[in-house]
Amino acid sequence: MTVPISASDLTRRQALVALAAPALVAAGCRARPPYDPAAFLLPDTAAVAVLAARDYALDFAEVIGRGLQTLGLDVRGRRVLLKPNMVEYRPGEAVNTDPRVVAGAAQALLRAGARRVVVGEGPGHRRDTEFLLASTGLLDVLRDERLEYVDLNQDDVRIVTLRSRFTGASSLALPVSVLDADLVVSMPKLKTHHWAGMTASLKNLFGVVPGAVYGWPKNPLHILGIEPSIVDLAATVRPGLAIVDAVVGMEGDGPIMGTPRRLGCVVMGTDPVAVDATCARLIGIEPARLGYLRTAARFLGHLDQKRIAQRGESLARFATTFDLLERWRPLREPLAWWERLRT
Amino acid sequence: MAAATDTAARALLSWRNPDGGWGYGPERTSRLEPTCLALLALAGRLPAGEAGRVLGAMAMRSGVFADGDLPPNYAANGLALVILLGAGGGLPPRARELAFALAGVKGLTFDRSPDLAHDTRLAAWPWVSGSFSWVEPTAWCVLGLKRYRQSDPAGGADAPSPATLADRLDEAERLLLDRAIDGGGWNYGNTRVFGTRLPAYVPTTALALLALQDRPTEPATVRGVDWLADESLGEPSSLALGLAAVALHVLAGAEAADFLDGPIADRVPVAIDLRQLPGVAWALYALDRHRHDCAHLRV
Repeated sequence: MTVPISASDLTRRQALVALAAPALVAAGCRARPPYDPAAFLLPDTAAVAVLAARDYALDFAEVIGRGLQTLGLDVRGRRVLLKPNMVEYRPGEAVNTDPRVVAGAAQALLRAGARRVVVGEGPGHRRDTEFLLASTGLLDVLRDERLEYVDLNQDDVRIVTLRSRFTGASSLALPVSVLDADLVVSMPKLKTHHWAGMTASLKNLFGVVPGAVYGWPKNPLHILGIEPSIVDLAATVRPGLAIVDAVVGMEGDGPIMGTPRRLGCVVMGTDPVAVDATCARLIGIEPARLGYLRTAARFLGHLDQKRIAQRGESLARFATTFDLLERWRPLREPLAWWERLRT
Repeated sequence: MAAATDTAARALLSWRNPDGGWGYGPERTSRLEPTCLALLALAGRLPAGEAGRVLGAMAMRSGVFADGDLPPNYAANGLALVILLGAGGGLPPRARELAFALAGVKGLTFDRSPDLAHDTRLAAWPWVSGSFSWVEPTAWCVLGLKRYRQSDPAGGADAPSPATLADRLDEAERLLLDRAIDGGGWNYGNTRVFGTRLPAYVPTTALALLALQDRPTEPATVRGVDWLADESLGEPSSLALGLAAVALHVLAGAEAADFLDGPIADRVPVAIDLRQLPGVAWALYALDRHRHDCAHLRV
């Protein structure tokens, strides 16, 4: 079954997960992890490119093309799905991935030899894709660039086995456009998130979960736990590239009702954990304090700064401190050495 | 308007799958919700009894429709009950079974949270089992069960008891009223989070109003109708404008939505281009409303 079928099942499953997770940590992960380690072999280091982008008037095809070269990513012949973050319409606010960044990514990937580029998103609150596309300006970009759009909320789906089981769920229905893509590119806007602390390339994957199956909002993910759901989705979807719109981000009560905050850069990488860890450092958050990032760093990518090969601009050039809701302010505090050992 | 209506109808007819159902767009697998929306929008253009035949052939699991192995979607099932019951008349096959099953479905509840303004102890309908109650599935199940109650007042051993129905509908109405946004209207179902008021949406406002159409003097209903009349043009899509026109037609009178007809017609080609069956279907149903008077959706 793809979601809990009764409240009693749910409670039992959640209780098991809740009981099991600290036990795994306490045992120094001696117990069998909820994933197959052999399926998640990581290189020793991950490259992350930080590229200056002072505003949205830039040529983002050039910026992102330079990022692709920096990362050495070969996209020739690949069918690419760009997954921006398009969650709500608030005029003048920094809610969604800017359409100009999406257009630039599509152009850069096609120039680099991608066979096909499709844009897909499944907004989590509004099911009215026509309205969101038109109001956010993405519809104009799709027409100008002659890009196909797929509504991931309403795409055909296949039920797939999850490749990690931090939620306790075994399977999930996912859109065929995601499952059949050779390369899924997570293209978030860098924002604070009032339920998850921060949203970047990993949290952005909630948008691939089909609303026509799980509803608006995608509540089963909340019930199963936002953080374990992020990890299980990332392990299953395995985005091969992250391009973060950090030209203008959102601080405070993100991901929708917060305040725009200029950063002036784009962050790119093939390791989404390393990209998100870099984004966290960029906005003054200790990455290991984000529970989902800490869990993802066990098998999906690198969080440790020593294993992230920073390329492009210096992080210090753009680093700032985002305003956080009071409940998330501890994210700013460095971890003690003994806590670091557990990550 | 006639040209837009014909264009929308032709698109929907051409998107039909060989199995008789519809997916969310052309060349998509048939699913319950788009099939129901297409049947609603094309009522009068399809042979008599077509909706019953199509839904009669779809698979049910534990009394509700399910798309293959996917979890049953209760918003789509509430809509299916509306479609089964048609524009009035007797009780069609499967309607009682579906009503009985839906009357037994409840969203999860939890103790009130200071982070959320709404009453989390109220239960209505979730999208899928094992999750909380939200506006859209609640609105469709309320509308479906209210129409069912009118069609099967005598009930029977295999029907939901009148007391059960009354209790479920009463709590669901209270939930909808509680989830109304201060300034009017509804979104997916959160009013305030961490003290911040969230915006209302046109489509969910229209659905909530259809569910509450027999409670026209409730302050939330009155505010919702006003909000919809004032704000619907601010969400220019076939889905939003179509649903707004239908809700205003039902709650505010036959001429109340005429100002939306031009904008709806303008949006039809966009929805077709984006392969958005729900948008095309609601636009068509709205543009046809003076012919059918939204009889399927009245209680």
